[in-house]
Parts: sequence; C-alpha cells; structure tokens
Amino acid sequence: MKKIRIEGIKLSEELFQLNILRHFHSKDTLRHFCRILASNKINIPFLSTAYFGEEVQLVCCMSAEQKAKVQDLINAEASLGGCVEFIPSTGLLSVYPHKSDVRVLGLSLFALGRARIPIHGLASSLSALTLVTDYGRLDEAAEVLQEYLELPPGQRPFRPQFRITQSEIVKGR
Amino acid sequence: METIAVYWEPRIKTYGFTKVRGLSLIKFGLSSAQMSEAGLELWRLGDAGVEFYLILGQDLGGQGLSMQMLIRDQWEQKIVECVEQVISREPGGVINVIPSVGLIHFYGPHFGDRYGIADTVFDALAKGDVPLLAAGCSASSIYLVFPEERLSESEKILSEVFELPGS
Repeated sequence: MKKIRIEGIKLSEELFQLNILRHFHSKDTLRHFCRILASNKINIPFLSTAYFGEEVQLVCCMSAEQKAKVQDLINAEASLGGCVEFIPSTGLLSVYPHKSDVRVLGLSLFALGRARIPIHGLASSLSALTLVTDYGRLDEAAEVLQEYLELPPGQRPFRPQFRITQSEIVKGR
Repeated sequence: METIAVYWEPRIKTYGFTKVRGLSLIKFGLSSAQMSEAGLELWRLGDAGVEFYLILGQDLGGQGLSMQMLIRDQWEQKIVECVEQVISREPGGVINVIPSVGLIHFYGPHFGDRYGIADTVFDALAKGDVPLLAAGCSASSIYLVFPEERLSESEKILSEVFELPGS
C-alpha cells in the first residue's frame, strides 16, 4: 500500500463531545440546541449531523473548559432529556489536504480501525478531513496515520500555539 | 497565548457560497469492527477516480459510526457496491441512498473560533422551513445538504443572514 502525500496533520486542544442520539423533532432540536450554546457564548469547533425523517443525530465538540457549563445547560433542558450523551475528553485530528480523494478517507479509517483507535465523529471541509478520537490517544492516532499518509520531510503533526476566542457579537454599531 | 477578537458585523461576513448540484447522499452504519475493512474498500475505489464532496460521521453510542457520504451521482453504484461488501457480512446493515441532492458550502473569517455561526445557520433554515438533510461544521467551513429542488431557496434564506462578497 503506497503512502499518500499530504501537507499536514493538525491536532486540537482538549475538547469534550456531546452526542444527540436519534432525537425526534429534528428542526427545532438543532435550532434550540445551537441557540442555547450561542446565547452562552460557547463556540462549536466541530459539528456533524444527519437527519432521519423527523429525527436528528448530532455529534459536536467544544472546549473542555466549557464542559461543566454545557452539562448544566443541557441537563436543565427537559426537551433533550434522555437522548444526550457526553464523551469527556476528545480531540480533533485534521488531515489536509484530502483533495476529495477516497483513498485519504479510506486509509484514515483503515489505519485507525486496525489500531483499534476509536472514531467518535467525522467531517470534511474543503481541504481537511477531521476525525474525532480520545484526547489521550491523539498522538498515537497521528503516528498510526503516518504509516499510510506521508508528511513533507521534517514536518510533524502540530498543535496550534495560540487560541482565538470571541468576546462578543455586536450586530450593528 | 490567547487572542480575543471582537466582530462588528450587521450580517456575518463570508467569502461567498459555493453551490453544487447533481449529488447523491449515501447513508450507512459502520460498526467499530467494520471500520478498517470499509477503509480498505474505499481506498480501492481510489483507482476508479471516485471523489467525495463531503463525508460525515456520528458516534453510535460507542458502537461505530453513522456515516453520510456525498458524491457525484455517477459514483453512486460504485459506492453502494463497496459499502455492501462490508456491511452485508453482519446482520442489520442498511444502505440508504438519497438521490438528487444539492450542497451549499461556505466559510468566513475565523468561523472555527467564533460562537453563534451554527445558531445563525440553523435558525435561518428553521424559519425558512427548508428540509436540511445533513450538515457539517469543521475547520471554519459550513457544509449543508438539501434536496436539489430546494437549493436556490436555501441559498436565498442564507444570504439574508450572511454577507456575501460584493453584496
């Protein structure tokens, strides 16, 4: 199996994951859920969702620092009761560029599956294929991927050295 | 190091919408045990030049992933055959194909670092009563999948709450 050349692997800071499992009233659930987070100034760096008729299935990740706050907010929401699950410590691993190539996707699933590293979520963007796994296994996941995906010489998977947060949304002056 | 950014925008700025028609959304579940085998089969499809527009996956309570793959409709049969090879070996495997879907994707300044972007998207679409089929937000990008015949209407709704270059 020939290695595929990529440009980089980016690892996130520690996050936590929230899953909504096949919940009824899809449209209102998602809207309501995102409104709760936005009104509490909580960013969602990763979200992956699908609809099954009137049901929604969602996974999203947020900063680990916000975990207690989000748990309190969600636990106070009777409409979401019983269908929410938390994974306490997750991280994002983004491989880029994927160039829409199924081989990059295939090798990523193959490598992590073979190493029995869990994939809690998945989403692609224009350039990156982002996988969610346990935060404690993020470095191991990056190592495993490099058995099949080749970084430029001398380059290693990296973590951003700074973080940007937004202090306020002001709609109009 | 932490940088705090403040945005003053009457409407949230984007770098423009991209619309794609003529797509199929293929939905299937993969158990944790099937992950490596499915990966291998997808890798093999690379020789046929199969490309994806979007891939999404949601955790099935630690039992695997619910997957959605958005592709050109010309690749539908190949992907279905590929997935069938893997999931048919365990009982209960189902593949669901939704043909004639469309995609709108866009990104904007620091979308990955800001709160309220997803809220703006889902609030606008809910008010507009547009049926969303799948959505993904990662790496500053928003990907939204609609029935193809509702794509223009969805774009209009989104353009009322997001600013496009030159608008």
